[in-house]
Amino acid sequence: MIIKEIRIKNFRSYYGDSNIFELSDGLTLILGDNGDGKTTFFEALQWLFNTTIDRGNIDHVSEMRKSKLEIGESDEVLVSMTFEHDGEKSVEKSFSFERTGEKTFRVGSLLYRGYETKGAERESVNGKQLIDRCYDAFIQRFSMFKGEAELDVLDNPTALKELVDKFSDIKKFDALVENASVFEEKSGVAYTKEMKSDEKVSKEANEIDFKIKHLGELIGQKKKDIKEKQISCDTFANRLSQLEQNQETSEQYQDIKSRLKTQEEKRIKLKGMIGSVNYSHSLLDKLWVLCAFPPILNEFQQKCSALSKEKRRLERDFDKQQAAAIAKLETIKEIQGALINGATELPWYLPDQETMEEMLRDHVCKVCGRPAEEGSEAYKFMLHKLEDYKSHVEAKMKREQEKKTLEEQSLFQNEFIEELHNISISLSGNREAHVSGIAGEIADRLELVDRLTNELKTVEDKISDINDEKTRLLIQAGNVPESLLESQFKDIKGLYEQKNRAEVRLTELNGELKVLQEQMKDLQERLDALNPSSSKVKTLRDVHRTLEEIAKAFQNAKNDNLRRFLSELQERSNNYLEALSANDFHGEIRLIQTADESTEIHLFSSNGTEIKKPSGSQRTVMYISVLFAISDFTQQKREEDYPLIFDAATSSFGDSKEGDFYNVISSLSKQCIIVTKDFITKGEVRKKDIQTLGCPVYRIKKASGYDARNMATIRTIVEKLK
Amino acid sequence: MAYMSNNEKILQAVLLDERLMKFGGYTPEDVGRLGNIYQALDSDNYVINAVAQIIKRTNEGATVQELWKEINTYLYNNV
Repeated sequence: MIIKEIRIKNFRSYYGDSNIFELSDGLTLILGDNGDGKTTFFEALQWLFNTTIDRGNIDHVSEMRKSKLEIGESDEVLVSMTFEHDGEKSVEKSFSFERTGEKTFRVGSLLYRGYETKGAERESVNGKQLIDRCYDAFIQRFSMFKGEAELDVLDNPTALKELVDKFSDIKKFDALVENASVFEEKSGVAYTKEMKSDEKVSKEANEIDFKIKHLGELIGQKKKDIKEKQISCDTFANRLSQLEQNQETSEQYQDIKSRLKTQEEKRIKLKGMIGSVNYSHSLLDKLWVLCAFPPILNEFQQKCSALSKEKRRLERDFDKQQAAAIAKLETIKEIQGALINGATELPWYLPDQETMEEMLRDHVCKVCGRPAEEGSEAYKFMLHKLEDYKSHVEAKMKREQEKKTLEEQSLFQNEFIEELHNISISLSGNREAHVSGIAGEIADRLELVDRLTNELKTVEDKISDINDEKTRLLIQAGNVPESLLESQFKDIKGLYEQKNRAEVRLTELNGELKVLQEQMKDLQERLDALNPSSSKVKTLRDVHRTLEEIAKAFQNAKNDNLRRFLSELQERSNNYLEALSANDFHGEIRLIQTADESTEIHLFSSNGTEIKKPSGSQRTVMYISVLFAISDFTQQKREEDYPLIFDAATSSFGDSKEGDFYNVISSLSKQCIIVTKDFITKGEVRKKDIQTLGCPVYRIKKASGYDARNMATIRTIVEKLK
Repeated sequence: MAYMSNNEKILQAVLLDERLMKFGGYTPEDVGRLGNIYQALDSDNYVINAVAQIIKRTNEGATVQELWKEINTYLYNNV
């Protein structure tokens, strides 16, 4: 069967009818990150192939589709596949759903539709039967794997036994071996019975037969004891092996846990340091808002200084002018007249106004004592003197007023420039230094946060690596629960003692069985050596001997058939192992039959040492190799090939291994569909890496703009990258 | 044997058992000359013939009793 196309409609996150995957007959890669719909793709296929269910399930319906339906509207969930299997065929599985209320939906029955192309005709056939005919549950079990851990299906002895039974023809041998054994027994009974009734040898024959029967019972019991003891030994060995592995795993687990704790603590501390400064609060609390202020302050200071200087210069000039004006006023002196004889006359204020007015009123000069009648020269002189006095007083008052006015005059009415200058001065010094330091402080902080962020990234990378290591360890340990690894395994010594005792007893029992079988052989020879008188007895003896040999030959053929099958499976597995491992160490697969006829897969080094703890990727490659080999057998036995479908089967692989691995798989002539998050880093496909791949690659991802808390907003979109 | 059915593959696997060949007195070449299971059923060698009968009749769905009767009779008359 080669799948050519898969179509998914309204199945969970695959909203709508445009989700189509065209698959190659070799490798097809489907890349998606966590939550992008990888597992949903795989589960859609599982759902399609599951023919045991008959009802649709509302949980399978796209939440987005449900949310967009109006009450009374309906749609369908459908998964279909077109494939080549002895001609082109297709099968689809669907069910309808209808919105019946705000939160209620009605779900219809499941419909399986199949189509086969016969000649030019496309015929409708029963879809369920078509699936069962072309891709039955048994084949699905060995061709579809979800997660790396599921690959260990082959670790299950029952599964491998079924596989061997299915493909080695061993079941056909079972009936033949059983029949031949029954015939041998019956012929033996007939021969012995006839011998015991022979006249000549009956007594001796009866005696020997009695002993043979008794010995047969002893041998039967001994074989039973041996089988039980062998199972005990195997159980002890398995338990010990598991415990040893778990103990070592447990130690590694403790180490990983301790490293994880250390790194987690570092992460918390770094996150604390990174978040210790709230940038928004610091804008005001730490005046970070002023980080761009120093040049502004500088400009302000320069302008204040210039203004102050200019003002002072203007004031100085003004003062000079003012001083000059005052000086000019002050330099205006009274020019005193000279008397007849040249003597200097009295100052203008002597006699004073009161004296003058008294003398004028009294008409007498009280300086010289002569009368000064009104109208006389003397009177006029004194009157003139009084008026002169008054004009002097008036002129002086005027000058005083002018001087006062001059003195009161100032160039600048306000002190704004001084105020600005004072602010400028007050902002200098320590405060200026502080503001200048803010930008540096912010730069330092950002640099520190950058450094811490880088450190945090390194720590988070380490945590991721350690978690990967833990996952690999758990996968390697066979998905042992973590709780089991927490406990220590101290009882190994006791188990060793029990195993040793069982092995000693098993050796003893085998020795005892050998002795009994020798005795039986002697008795048989003695019985055969008897010479009966009846020719019938002789004939029955020959018949018995013939059937005895034939029964052994059938048993041997069955064993050889199984051995050959396992040998061929082993050889093919190792061919794949070598190819898939590229240049890595890969060891050698050995399929080993156990005492209870089951088969186990082991990995050995070429020097014969068993690799008891292969790495996660070694185990994965080992299982995939065996699965490829099994797939070859399905092709050989059923004359049809089957696809191998893996969901996240290579999570233990490193980046470097991915490319080689997929390139090798794509070069094999085997259809393989791998859904993986390989080649995706931080949500982006490493396009350069996938360019080196020679296979079709699809990218599935959540459509943007979704609300992470609302399923109804999530839809997977499918994009063919190459 | 160019194309071998499952019966013929099993017949060959059983008949080529060394111990049975020695007991039955036939060689690998004798086995190789058997074109199909019907030729084995026609063989004069009672071991070859009996093995072929067991395989054919078992796969035809004969009961153990039926087959025992047939085999026992055949061998009784031919050994």
